[in-house]
Amino acid sequence: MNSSPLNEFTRRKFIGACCAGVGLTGMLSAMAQLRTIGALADPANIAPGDSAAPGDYKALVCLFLAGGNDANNLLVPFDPASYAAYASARGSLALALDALLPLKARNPDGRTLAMHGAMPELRDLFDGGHLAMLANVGTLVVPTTKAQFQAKSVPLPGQLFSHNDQQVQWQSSVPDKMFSTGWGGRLADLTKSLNENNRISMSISLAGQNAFQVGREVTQFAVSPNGAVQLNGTGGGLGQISAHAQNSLMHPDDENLLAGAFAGLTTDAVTDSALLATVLGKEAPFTTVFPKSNLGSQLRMIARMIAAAPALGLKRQIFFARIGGWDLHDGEIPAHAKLLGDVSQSLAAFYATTGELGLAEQVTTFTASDFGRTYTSNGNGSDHGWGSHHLIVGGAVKGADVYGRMPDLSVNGPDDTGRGRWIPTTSVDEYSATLARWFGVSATDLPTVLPNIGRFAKPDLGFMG
Amino acid sequence: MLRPLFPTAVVLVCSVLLRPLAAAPEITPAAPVNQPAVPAKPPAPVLYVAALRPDPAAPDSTGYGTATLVLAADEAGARVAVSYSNLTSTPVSGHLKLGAPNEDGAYVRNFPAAQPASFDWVFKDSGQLSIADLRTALKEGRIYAVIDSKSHPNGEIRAQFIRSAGSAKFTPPPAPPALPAGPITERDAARFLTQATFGPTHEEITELTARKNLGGWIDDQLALPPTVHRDATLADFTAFPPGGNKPKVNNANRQDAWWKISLTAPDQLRQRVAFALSEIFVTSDVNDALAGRPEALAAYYDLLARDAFGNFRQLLEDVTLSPVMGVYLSQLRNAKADPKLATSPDENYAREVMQLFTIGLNQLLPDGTLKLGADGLPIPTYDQGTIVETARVFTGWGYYSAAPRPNFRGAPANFFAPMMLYPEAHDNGAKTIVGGEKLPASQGGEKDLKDTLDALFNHPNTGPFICRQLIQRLVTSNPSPGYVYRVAQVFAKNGTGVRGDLGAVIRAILLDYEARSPAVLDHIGYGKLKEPLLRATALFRAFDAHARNGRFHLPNPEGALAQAALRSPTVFNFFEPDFVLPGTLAAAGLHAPDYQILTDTTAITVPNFLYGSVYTPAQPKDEQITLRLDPLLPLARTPGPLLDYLDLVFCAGSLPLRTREDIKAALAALPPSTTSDLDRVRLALHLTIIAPEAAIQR
Repeated sequence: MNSSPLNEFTRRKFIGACCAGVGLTGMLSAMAQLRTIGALADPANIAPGDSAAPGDYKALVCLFLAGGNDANNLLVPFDPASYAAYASARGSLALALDALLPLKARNPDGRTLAMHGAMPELRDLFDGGHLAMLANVGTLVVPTTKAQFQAKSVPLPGQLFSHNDQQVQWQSSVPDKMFSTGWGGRLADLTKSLNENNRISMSISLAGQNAFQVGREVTQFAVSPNGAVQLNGTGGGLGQISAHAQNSLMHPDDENLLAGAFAGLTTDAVTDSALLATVLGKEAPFTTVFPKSNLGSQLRMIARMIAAAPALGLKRQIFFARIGGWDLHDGEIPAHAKLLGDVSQSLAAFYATTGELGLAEQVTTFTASDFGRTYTSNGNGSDHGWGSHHLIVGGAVKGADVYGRMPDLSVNGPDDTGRGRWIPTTSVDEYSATLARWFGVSATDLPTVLPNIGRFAKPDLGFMG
Repeated sequence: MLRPLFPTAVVLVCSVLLRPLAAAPEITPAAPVNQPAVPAKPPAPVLYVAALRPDPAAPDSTGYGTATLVLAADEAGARVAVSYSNLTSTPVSGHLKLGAPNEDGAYVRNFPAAQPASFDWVFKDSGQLSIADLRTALKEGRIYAVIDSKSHPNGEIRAQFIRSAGSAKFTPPPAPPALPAGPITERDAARFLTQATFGPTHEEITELTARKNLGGWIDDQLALPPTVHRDATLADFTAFPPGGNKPKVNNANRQDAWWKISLTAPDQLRQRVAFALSEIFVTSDVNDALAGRPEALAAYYDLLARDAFGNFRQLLEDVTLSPVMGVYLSQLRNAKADPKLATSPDENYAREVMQLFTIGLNQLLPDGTLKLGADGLPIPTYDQGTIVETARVFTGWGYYSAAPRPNFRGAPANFFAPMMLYPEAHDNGAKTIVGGEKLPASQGGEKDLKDTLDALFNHPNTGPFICRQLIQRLVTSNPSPGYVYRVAQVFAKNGTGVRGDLGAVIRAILLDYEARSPAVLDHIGYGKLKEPLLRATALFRAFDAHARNGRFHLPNPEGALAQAALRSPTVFNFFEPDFVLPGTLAAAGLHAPDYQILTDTTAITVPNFLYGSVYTPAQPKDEQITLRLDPLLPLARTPGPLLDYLDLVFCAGSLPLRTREDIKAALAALPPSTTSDLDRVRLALHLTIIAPEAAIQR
């Protein structure tokens, strides 16, 4: 009865077959609303949301490790026999045993694992139960075995091991289709009605345009780590004349689409930034000190945006932060330690701040990356891999445990596609679905956010309790 | 040390959306858990593909697209998906019609033109046609898809559905219409110089208009020797030594040299092309190992400038053997596998030289559109196996050393000579590279490299892949397949039959119908957003920007402009050629590379930078770069001529009446008695350069 593809077509729910139309209505309506700066302060202008209970606030933070993190050195086998095998396979990339930070996992199931030595802050969060790790997660079209991989008997994600493609696939969670929307964007589309006000987008990027937050309705709003940037030269008599004229030059409906898009984006940016600046104020409403790194600044600004959520009328926020430099084909050992140290200190400061704001259980941060890296060395670095381990931090996280299945870490072993490029044993879809469920997506709505989730065994991996 | 923040650290979006081919058919059934393996098949659905191109009755169109039709296995109907791009005007409606290629056929199914157009076509008997008739017509290639637009209501692009066993035979596009006869106008000259330089001056526009010959201007530029960045970097260092006991050439010296040369050097076209090449063959001082090597990066930029009008094969080899690239993509000191240390060759350069520098991910037709396999999907140019093999080609190369017994790992850094081969570190086994070509064992590292670069240079993708990107950097973000084809044909064979002549390619790009014809100016998707750095250089060049101390000291432009020469955050450049901006541009199927760094932050910091450059202090510091606005001052009280001047220089005469009126109104609002001439021209200048018409190059 289902043999006709036509039935298949009509039954299946399409989540936008291409980028077309994305954000158009969102952009126009935001512009119309934002014409009246300051209207926010007037409670009459804030329409009550439909269903969010008071105090029901949640924020999801995606921290993208751009370039492909070598998670083989994030989570390291620690018992003597496993460590010896690790050290021999990784050669010059092996970390010294005495520099590792052993983990006290809740359910060790025979594994003894340790964390990279540059991350004492996150080891403490792990032991304290606020950080979980997920082993060997990656892009998959369907569950895949080594035999299937070799025989090409199941569809595989396109352009495996290529940076830009794998970044997009991690962020869309649809590795077998042309990119249309990111899973963060679909999550925002689905949950935006919980907000009392969507004037300032619930999707905030600290790192410019990204695929993760591309939705059909909710547009992404980029802020700099220093907050809202203001247009210069608009004060005084001359400034007012100039500002008025600048605004009048912008025609988002211009017949030339490039000019129209430029005008629309510029107008939005100017009005949104002015509004955001007034809401954020000058001082951060917390005292926790962040590292001075770019990542520290990004997470600090996210904490300020979280603190501003009530003033913005937002009950749900999705953030995107990014730290680059992970593509360590060369000189890996020292550079990787520096990056992981920054991640550890910045995430720990961010977690502490959510505690200071009384929101620890309402904010969850998770890492993502292009891919893992080869287990074997290319001399003093590693090359592009596939599955890798990731971190989930937050008060609602059921921490102190490693979820998923660690790959068999033998080169040319049952999980290896060559040089220790592990076939993922958990899909990005399962990882994302677990987070989306916590964010408030019902089991029924889950396929709207993660269209391929039905192909995988575990829509809930358990790390969110 | 962390650099001033990139407000727009670049993330890569939509790069899988190569050309409007989103109409790829469904292939992956949602398999139930635990049963992912081979789905039981026959009878199978059948794929038909229509490559949409301009209707002969719409010769001015630059539109194109793809429609796919999957005939259901039971032949009760079909699923159709249509995507398209680059129409002259707003799309109105789409139709499936029955008829021969040159015939106006009968309507069989209408569909809304809005993208994504994706719908089920259930066959039904009608008065004229039975279900059987429709099936037969489809199988015989008599069903076609057509998109009507506002300016071509009877069809702008169309194509027959052909049963696909991969792409149908490639048909070269027809020649474009003739360019209008008559002398070069000032607008033509301004438009040309905007494409070919770092921004025109009014004087240059006047000169070129009088000269009446764009080709002659190009000839002169091709003949000019390169201005040397390494020399200028050292000169900046000598003239403005940094403090400290042991001063060293620093990155500020290199950036200052870039500004000086881009703003003042006579070899504008060469430098402009070198900048474009620096965004394809990316290296960057964001890389830790290169951050302290400004002189080496300057030399790398010189390499690009030197080869900009030479042969692409030479450029490819020079880039490959550049120690700067060697450090950046780690093919320097890349050794063959060592079983004792359990190491394998580094795959970095092997991947990027194919993905980014030559052939790209998928096979292309000669017009740069994707070739399709029998499944209707793009065909990869290589796989991971090819990369593993090619990585072995790029082993054994290290710093050049004149020592009698140079050491692969021990030779000191030498960034000013090409890398040399250390045979003992080269993997001399047999290899299978791109296209299945076999390199025999023991032929040596130099021959392995030569054969591999030859294979990449001669690959049919390389011409269209590189030419499209050069067009995108110089002229327009969405060249028609015809434009790409015409330029790629010149890449394949210049006037004397030589492949890879970049000077001839640049000439073909700048003199093409689509770069020169005023007819394309009104197409709704024509043109490109100017890169922020180029908006800045245009302003500076137009008014002879200078500092009292003679320096061009703008060492960290990325803070405001999200760009600086050789300072991309990744090898994927500040933006990617296939970036798609969600919204109206995506809906029209247009790529928008430069919009990848137009964010809510840079939409403000870029105009702020321009504002600060116009409104400089009355008593500038020695290093403050200021504009000479003298040519404008006599026009301060005559808004019409003032705007004519600014419109020509910054907008190539595209400023619409309504914008001129807005600026005039602002000028009129200034109190006449208390406003100086300088303030009047500054206001007009500032408003002009931030207007969309100055931000978009057409």
